[in-house]
Amino acid sequence: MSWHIVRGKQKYIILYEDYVDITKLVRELCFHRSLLSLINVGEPDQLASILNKELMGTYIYLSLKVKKTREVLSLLYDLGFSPLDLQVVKEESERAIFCAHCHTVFITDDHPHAVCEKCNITLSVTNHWSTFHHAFLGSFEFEGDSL
Amino acid sequence: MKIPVSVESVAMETNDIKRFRIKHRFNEPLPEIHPGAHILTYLPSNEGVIIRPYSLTNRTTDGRYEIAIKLVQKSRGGSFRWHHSVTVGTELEISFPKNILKPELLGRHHVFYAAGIGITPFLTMLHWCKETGRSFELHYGASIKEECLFYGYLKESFKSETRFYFSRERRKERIDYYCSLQRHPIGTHVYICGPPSFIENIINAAKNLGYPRERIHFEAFRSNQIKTKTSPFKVKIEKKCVPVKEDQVLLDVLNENGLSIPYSCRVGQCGTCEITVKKGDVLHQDSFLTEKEKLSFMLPCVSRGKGLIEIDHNSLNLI
Ligand code: FES
Repeated sequence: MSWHIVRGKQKYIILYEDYVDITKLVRELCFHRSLLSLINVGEPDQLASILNKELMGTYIYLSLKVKKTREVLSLLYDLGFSPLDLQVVKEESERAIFCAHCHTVFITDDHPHAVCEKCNITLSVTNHWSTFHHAFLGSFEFEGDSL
Repeated sequence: MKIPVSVESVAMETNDIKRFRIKHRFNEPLPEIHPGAHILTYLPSNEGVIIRPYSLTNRTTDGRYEIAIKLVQKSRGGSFRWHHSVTVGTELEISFPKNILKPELLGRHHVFYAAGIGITPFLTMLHWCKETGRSFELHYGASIKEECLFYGYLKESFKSETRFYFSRERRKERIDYYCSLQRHPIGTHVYICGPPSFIENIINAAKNLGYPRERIHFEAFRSNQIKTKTSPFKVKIEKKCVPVKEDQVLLDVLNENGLSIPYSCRVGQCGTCEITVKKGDVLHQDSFLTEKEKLSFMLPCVSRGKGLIEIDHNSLNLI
């Protein structure tokens, strides 16, 4: 798992799922002496009512499986959070890919190539991470001298 | 491109603030504006054209612009001319409207902090917030009620969203930035306009509270009018040494000496007028250059020199 610590916030929240290990992240955040709250993501409705009351200066880490991440992200954006207020803790084992052709975001294993589940195009998975889509960019693979 | 205009009406708003309504000289409606827009005014005078930026406080339905100008003590330049020689019918030119400050469309809540004349860029933004049903609040500080620009209008139009703070009334009140900033919900955008120390204090408080930089917006706009004390200095261009009087803007002096340096905002926020400094101490008053850039460059639309400065003629990007 990878993340970076964003300093100087009043409060940090880690949104997590049972089967994701967050101990290392918790330990690092504890150093900062800011308020730290851990929320086990259950039903999005309950989550909304909790996070809706958050104030400026709050920063969220999402340590969730990719599918759940996408669900929670759209809820957070609806509540007024933006990529500036949160960070997705990246799981190495699975990846969300943004298809440059049809703009679908889909989840795949960590391969250098992936086939878009919607348009079936073969994409090469780049290192470009979109903080908006929370996915890696999958760009076209051109064969032979088609360019 | 400039627009030929004339002054349609002049009204005294407070002891030292006048409101001017400007119309197109050929009676065409002036261009539509975005909330928070400002214009550059080109006012002819015996000493040449005086160029100053002013926020638009309103665009009337029939296409007139309104600006409010505070008479700066000791001014012999922009505000002095506007207060003492501009009357109904005065002809001048203006730029097309520009925006340094504009409301963030995706903001969940908008908070405006204004001090004194700093309220002017917010009037059109407040209006936009109200019209489009956005959540917003205004914190407005002035010395006394009589000095509070648009007091009646704000009280009437934005009663529940506005809080006034009068520092010299019997019940003295100042904006408690920390307290106020601590209460804003996630997704808030903060907008600040007022004297430099006011802007700086709020920015620092917001940063300390963990606000992302992108959520803090400000207009350092009137720095050349609010900073009361400026001193004359000299600028060396190639072999020529030119004096810059205390009420002159370096950019204008360079221009008068045949160096047409491009500019846009004229408030030290866009970087268009950047020049390279070869020698001398610069009093930087912009909010654009980084600390490292300030070692070699300056923005002559707002910044000044101390004693004698020398600029690099070869690196000038003239128009
Ligand atoms: S004109 Fe914009 S910084 Fe000088």
